[in-house]
Amino acid sequence: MLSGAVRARRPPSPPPSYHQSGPRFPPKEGHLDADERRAAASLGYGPSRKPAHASGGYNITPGEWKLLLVLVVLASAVRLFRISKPDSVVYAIPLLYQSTFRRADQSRTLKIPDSTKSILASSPPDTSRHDISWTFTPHWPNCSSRLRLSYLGLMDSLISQRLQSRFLRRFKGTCPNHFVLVLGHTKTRHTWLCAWSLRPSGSLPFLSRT
Amino acid sequence: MRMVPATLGIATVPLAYLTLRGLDCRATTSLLASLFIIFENALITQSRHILLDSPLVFFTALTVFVWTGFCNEDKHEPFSDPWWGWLTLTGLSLGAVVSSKWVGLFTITTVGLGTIRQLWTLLGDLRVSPRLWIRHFLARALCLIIVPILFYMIMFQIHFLILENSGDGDGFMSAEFQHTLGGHGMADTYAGAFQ
Repeated sequence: MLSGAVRARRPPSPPPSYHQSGPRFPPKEGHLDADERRAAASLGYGPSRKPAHASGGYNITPGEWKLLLVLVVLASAVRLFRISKPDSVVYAIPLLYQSTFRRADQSRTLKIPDSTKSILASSPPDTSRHDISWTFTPHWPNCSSRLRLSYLGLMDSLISQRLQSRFLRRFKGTCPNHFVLVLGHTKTRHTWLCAWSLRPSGSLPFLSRT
Repeated sequence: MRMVPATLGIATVPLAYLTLRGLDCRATTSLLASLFIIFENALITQSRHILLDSPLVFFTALTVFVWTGFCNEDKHEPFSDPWWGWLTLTGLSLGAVVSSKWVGLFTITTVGLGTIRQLWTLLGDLRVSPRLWIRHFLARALCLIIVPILFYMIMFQIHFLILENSGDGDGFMSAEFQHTLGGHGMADTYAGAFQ
């Protein structure tokens, strides 16, 4: 039982020279007190306490405008290619690799299956079927990456899909963080392989006809 | 003639990118979505034929884009000049959507539901006075109802001014309307009268 002799002790007072530099509980960023919120509401502002968006909410950096330009050029190429023959379209089969990184420093070569080879051999002889590939580094916003384009020759979309599934089995887990795209045209059957590496130092997979 | 739907199909791609950026998506996400739209076979095919679907898709994307800009501006500063600009552009693009095809009415429904949600939120906000709420309501009613109707009717008026002569599609029109066309081949008939 508490006796009357027990007294709470007051903490010692700060020295006279002590001056608190800031408020004990500094306001959060974007926080409005009651008066500020009432004033904001009188102007018709919304109830959100979050930092206000920029006008219209579109904060596009100059690098993104360049990226948009590239997208428009790419879309123009896809939509306007042989537009006088609209029954044929440019198709794309994308695959995105997100598996663990194991052997990115070693290039892998995929051999085209025999069934595909026979169809390729039956293509017109005047068409060039040699591989063209090159690598360059685009100035991506906040990203350094490499892109490799390889011309695969004449294939139809079905063969491209078979090739793609074989490609997936072969390279699964060995080429991570790669965006691989097979581009083709249904009428002319020209087919390209586009491999985009998110790792600037990693090597890119490629296809070989041998 | 194919260039018009193709151009609209091309313009849909940056609209998708900008819309996603306006929705606070990352640049990589917006890029991926744009690539999907670029290589989507149905959209490519639609863009290469002389159809009404390409304008419909473009104006739908434009409506979503300007509506996103308006919603962001509404959180920023209502009744400012950009706020009125985005809202008016939304109304104009809604008129363009429904002028392309009546399927665009679904876009109007989508924007209408978003507007109802915004007004409902404002109604429950005790800091918004009834007078201010009425201003919000009238501004949206003006720009999202009156402006699209006016746009739709003006499009009809332009058609009537341009297409004033008779053509192959006369059979789809009423007899009274066919008589207003120049060079119509429909013979005059007597109107029935009570005896």
